[in-house]
Amino acid sequence: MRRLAAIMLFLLALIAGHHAAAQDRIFRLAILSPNPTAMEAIREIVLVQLARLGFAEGKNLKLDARFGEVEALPGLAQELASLEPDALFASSNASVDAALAATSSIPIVMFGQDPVGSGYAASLARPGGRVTGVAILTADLDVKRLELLRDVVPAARRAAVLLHSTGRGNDVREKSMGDLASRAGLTISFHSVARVQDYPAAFAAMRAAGAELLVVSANTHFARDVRTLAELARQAGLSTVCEWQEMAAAGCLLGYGPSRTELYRLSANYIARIFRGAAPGDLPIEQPANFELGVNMQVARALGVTIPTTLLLRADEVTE
Amino acid sequence: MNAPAATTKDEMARHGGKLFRKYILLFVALVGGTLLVNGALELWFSYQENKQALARIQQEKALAAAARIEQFLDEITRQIGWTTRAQWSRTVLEQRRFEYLQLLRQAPAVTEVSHLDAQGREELRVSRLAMDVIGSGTDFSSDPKFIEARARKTWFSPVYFRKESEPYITVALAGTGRDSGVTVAEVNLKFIWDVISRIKVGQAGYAYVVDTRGLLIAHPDIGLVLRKTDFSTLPQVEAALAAKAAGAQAIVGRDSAGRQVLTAHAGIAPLDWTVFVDMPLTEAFAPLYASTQRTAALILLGLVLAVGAGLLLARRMVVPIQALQAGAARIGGGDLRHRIEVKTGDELEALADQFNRMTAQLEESYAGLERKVQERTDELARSVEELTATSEILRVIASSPGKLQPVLQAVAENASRLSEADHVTIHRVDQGELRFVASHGFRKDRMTEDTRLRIAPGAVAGRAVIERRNVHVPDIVAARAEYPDSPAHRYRDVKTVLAVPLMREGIPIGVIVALRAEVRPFSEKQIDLVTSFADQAVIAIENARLLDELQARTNDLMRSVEELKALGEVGRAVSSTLDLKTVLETVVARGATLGEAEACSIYRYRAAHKQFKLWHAAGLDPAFATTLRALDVREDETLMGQAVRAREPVQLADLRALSNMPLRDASLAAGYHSVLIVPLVRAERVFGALVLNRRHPGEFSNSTVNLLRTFASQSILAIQNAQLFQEIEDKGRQLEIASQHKSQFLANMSHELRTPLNAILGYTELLLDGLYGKLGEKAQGVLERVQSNGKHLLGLINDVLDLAKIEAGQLTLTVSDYAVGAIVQSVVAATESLAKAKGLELRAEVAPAMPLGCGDERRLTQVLLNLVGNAIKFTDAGSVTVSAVARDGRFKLAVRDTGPGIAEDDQARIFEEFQQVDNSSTRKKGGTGLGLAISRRIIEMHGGTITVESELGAGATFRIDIPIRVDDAREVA
Repeated sequence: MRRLAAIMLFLLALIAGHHAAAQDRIFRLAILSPNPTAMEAIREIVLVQLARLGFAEGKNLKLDARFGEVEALPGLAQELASLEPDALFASSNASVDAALAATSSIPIVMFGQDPVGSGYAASLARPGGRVTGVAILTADLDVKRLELLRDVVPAARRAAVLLHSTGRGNDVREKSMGDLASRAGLTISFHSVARVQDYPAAFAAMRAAGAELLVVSANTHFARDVRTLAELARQAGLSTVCEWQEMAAAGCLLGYGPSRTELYRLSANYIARIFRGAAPGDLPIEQPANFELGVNMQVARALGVTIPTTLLLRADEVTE
Repeated sequence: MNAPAATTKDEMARHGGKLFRKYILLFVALVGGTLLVNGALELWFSYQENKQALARIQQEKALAAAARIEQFLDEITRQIGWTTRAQWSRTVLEQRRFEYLQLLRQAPAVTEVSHLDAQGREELRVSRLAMDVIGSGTDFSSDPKFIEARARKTWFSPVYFRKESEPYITVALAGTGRDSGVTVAEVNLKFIWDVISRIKVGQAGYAYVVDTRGLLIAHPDIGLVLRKTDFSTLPQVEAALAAKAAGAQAIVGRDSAGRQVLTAHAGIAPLDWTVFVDMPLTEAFAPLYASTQRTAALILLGLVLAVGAGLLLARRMVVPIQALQAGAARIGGGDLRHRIEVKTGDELEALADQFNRMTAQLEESYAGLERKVQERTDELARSVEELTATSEILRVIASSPGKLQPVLQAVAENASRLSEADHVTIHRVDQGELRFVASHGFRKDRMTEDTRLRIAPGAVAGRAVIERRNVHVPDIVAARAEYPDSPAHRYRDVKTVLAVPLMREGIPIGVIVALRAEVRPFSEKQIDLVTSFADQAVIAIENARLLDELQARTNDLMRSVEELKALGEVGRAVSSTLDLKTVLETVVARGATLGEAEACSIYRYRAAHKQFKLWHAAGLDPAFATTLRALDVREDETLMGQAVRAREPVQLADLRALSNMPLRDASLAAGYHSVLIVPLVRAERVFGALVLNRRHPGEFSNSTVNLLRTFASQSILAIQNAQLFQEIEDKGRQLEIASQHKSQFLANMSHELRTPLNAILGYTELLLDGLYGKLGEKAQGVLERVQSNGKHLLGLINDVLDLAKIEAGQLTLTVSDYAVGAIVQSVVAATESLAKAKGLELRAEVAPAMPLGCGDERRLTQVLLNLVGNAIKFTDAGSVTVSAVARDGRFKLAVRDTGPGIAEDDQARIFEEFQQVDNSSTRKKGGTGLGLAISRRIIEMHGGTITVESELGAGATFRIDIPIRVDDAREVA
């Protein structure tokens, strides 16, 4: 009699408790980058996308961001690793290297270039390691950038390329861009820098070479220092093309590259999936599909350059 | 009284809850069952309806998704198409590049666009990533993107993956003009993601696209696409690819993680792609689950109510029943004064009242029952006493089988005790009187074993015997007039008399008399008791009688068996030998034993002299034996003769009673007083007589006489057998000696004959050779005839000699190695001329590679020569063939002719001495008839056989079969 009642109570409890809520937990995301200015874009795009996917700061997401020069990155990576984050977002290959060295278990979402060539992943489709994320096309696009710049200033005869000593694929760049230059009847010179202090000397060298065009090669550091570089270029009277569409607004004549918004959003997707338990090695590395062109008409006018209509038609963003 | 109550309590505890549970279970089962059936039916129908509705919705979603993807592709195609239709399409390249750049801006999915001229050469390529190319002239005229586009205006390539990761297709569009080129665009299919991820299918559902190979092209999880995931193994994809039929019904499939999904698909027309719309089954069926839960809750509620109602009802039913049960248990436990209190006002109360009434009645009848039981117990005690008495008597019977006295004593004793008699006497009918056998309570001197009572109606016991019934006299003193002869009158302490006859098969064999010292009649029961003791006494008497009889019969049988056994042994002993002397010895020895006589002798009858003569004896003292041997017993006038004539045994119990007999005095003198004479006669032939003597006078028993009669006939047979055997043996020995003499004589004679014959032949030869001068022609002819006949005679003599030697055991084989081929050749050579003379063909067939034989070569040659000679001799036309083969370690020789043949009857005979096939032709051919006999002996000496096969008129074949190596054969033998 009492037993029977107990069984029935238990059954009722079972039905009632069926919809009990699952417990919440806090996910930690670490961010490592040489570019502190990127933090703004990260907040605007990555965090917004993460919130959309159910990971909101102040609710179930805790953020730990570290920025520093290339030399400082390994130390910062150690620091982040000790916090035992659930995922580490590494912007630039130097950050990825530092993160890989600092930890052997934390999944890394990269925002960099050439993951296969750098040894981070076995293939784009099946990375197989601890690194996934987005692969920005850099070296290839730099050639395209030179082409665009030449279309804008067809009369130019001398071009310069600013390279960063930490950048990867500089040799590829020199070769492919050299080829294009020789076909187009351009004289080309390459100028490598390691830190901000080297910039003036590089520009002096360009001037000395009589360069009219400047390709600022794709590199996080150059994205960080875009305003300095734009000012130096303006002083040198160089028509510049930079890595991102947004860099045109910051002072480059042209900015052409993958959609940064898209890539950040993709990065957020990777982070979310890793939070949900996916193994980074199973997540294919994505390449950009959308490319954006930015044109700074102010700079054009200051340089006395006429932007062809064809290019203006292609531009996604025109700064007046 | 306590133990059963405790048991009932246990039982109550054990069964107590059962009825209660049954009620509840019944209720719950009834209500719950109804609810369950109802719920299940409702669920089933709603499941079916839901499923159909879901399938329909899913199918529609699939078609909508397909339409959207088609729209996406159409948009791209349309945008590319713009560039081909433009007015300036055939104008300057720069213009076209401008157009292409615009396309790239408008269609973000297009990564690269190029233009091929009418010959399929690349004129222009504009790319988002790579350098633009102008006028490369690369030849694509044989590429499908050129050929197919020219043929069909629009062409979609199969899906391919750039960098093994990003899905692309090539879209090629031909220009409108006759010699216009083809515009080729590379389209990044990642952009379908925007379309596909916007297709919402419920909460967790999604759409995806696969190409004709089942490769994933678009999926909300772009990672799966980039990984080039192959979906062809998913059941729904497999089914769709196999069926190729669009618009199929939604089915239950699996997603890539193996979860069950409700899935539908639709084709994307221009590309042969298929779009699938999957929805997790859990979500699809969520409403169904909700309804299931509702139904389950309802059922549960129903069950709770059912249990509650069941509890209430069961309690109402069970409490009075338990009261009934407890009351019944108490009553059952013996508390008959207990009354059950149930006030429910229904059937249960009626039942309780019934119980109470029943208890009251039980209480009443219980008292009566106890009284009856007491009575029965007393009766039983008495019966037990009687039974004990009976069993005691039986025990006495059993413990002393065949002994009557103790049994009767026990009967008297127990009868006295149980019938409350002061004295009991038992008498047996013996030669018309009643003999006292046992008593109890009677003074010993009143009756003894010799006491005999007359059987008279004037005495109580006598009347009981005569009238074969119980006689009860309550007061013998008062009944003196009726029973004047009663011995009871003699004793003052006898008043009441009861006499019960002992009856066996209706015949009185005695009487049992019970006496009381006071006048107190025996009760009916007591009389019955005495009667039953009387029956037991009869049984005991009968038993004793039967046992005595059995004993006598058994003794008789044992004696017979022993006699038969003895006879059997004697028979075996007598016939165990054929030696006459032994037989006779055995006969006399056994005869004495069988007849239990001191001496036994056999006399032989001589018919010629009509006399008996002592032949053999045993147990006779030597002097008497000598006397007897010298004595002739004449047939007439003697007991022996009398016995033989009558063919019957005769005995004399005492010799002294006999007068004037030749044996009488001698026998008496030797101490023999009785005699039994058994004739030895068989089939009317008188052999003699068997005489047994005993030292003491007295008759021989019948059985002994019969025994000896049988023994005598056995003895005759044995003696006759022994005599016959002895005779045969004597004859045999004589024959053997005669035969030896004959052979010896023949051997000697032949030898003696041969010597002069050799001389005759020798001289004839010399004469014919002309050593004694030239002979006249006539003389020459005569001499030749002499020589020929002489040789023939010599041959005959040699044959006889051989045979004689063989018979006398003088012929021995000279064993040596020989070649059988050589023997055949020499025989053929010797007989060739004979054959030729008769115009016969003589053939020799000797198998090749014959082994070397071992035997008497000369004798074997002789045999073969004899056979071949015979064959030639008896064959007038045709051929004679000699053949030889070796097989199984033996030589098989055969001589075959085409002569007249030998009749079957003659075939066995011809190998005997002096036998020839007896007909005119043989006589014409001559011969002694010894050749084959000698041949047979020789072959047999070699351990072989010689046989003939023939039919009259069809020739004959003689076969010799001998071991190749004679010594081997002998060793084996």
